[in-house]
Amino acid sequence: MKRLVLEKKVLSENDRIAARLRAQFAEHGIYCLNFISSPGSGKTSLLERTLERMPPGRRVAVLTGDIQTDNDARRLARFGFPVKQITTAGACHLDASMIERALADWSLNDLDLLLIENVGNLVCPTSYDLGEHAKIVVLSVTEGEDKPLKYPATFHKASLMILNKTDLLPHVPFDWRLARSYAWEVHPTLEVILVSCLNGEGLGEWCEWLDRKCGESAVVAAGEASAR
Amino acid sequence: MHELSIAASILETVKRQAAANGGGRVKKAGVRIGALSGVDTESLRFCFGAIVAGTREAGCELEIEFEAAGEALDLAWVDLEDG
Repeated sequence: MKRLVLEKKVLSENDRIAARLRAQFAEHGIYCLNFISSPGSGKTSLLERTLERMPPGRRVAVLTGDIQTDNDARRLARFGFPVKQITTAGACHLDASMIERALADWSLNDLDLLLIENVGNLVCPTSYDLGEHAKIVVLSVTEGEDKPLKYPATFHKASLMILNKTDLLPHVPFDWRLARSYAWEVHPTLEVILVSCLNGEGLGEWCEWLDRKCGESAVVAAGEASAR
Repeated sequence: MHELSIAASILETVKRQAAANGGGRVKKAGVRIGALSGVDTESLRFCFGAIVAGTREAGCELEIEFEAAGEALDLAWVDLEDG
């Protein structure tokens, strides 16, 4: 018997493809976000409200993952941007190779922003790097305040938490400050924006966040292009 | 339940390493899992047992080292039977 020391990341193959995607995004100046949440937290609604508020001239595309159906892609295609459904046929998450395949017949030169809606699942998608610049976790007020404590990995890795369905706050026993403090226990610098996709509350703040990130990304891309 | 695909990734690496190192059977694989990895150790053990059954690696055990902090999801070592 001999012991062979490997010290390899289990998902090194996924990480390798994600690194390749990240390099392509940088080369083409694309800002990429990976949206993660439980099923029904409102990822698709958030993307709908986001697409209808997109500033003119910003070239956006959406990839949306589901285990079955292309319902989300059909909802999102109404806004006139390229949308592609990734049907995972059972898999509970998107991985980097699915993203690479989905992007293969799109011209990356024609994109500024790529929004990836992951499969509804607060656990599994977290482990798979998709080459994105940031993960956004969506939590809704019809869930438990302690979700950040129960699923710490997702909240730890996210850059922003969108607390959705705030229009329901008067009707549900959800203490949003408590949810936020739990999230900060797991991730002290996590940004938090309260949003209602129904009455529009907070969408302005969210779109400003997105504009700022796209702007920063464009500056970095321009810097890298001039350095090449 | 992405532990099945995690288990498949581990098995693939284990097989490749065994083939590249004399072709001996792998008796045990050492995996390090951090609390923030998003991986459940018991379901990983279950899934790994299920996918090695009936393969050349049948009986290969996972030795899981759980870390209370961090995002580790590493294949640390394998024990190879002399090939």
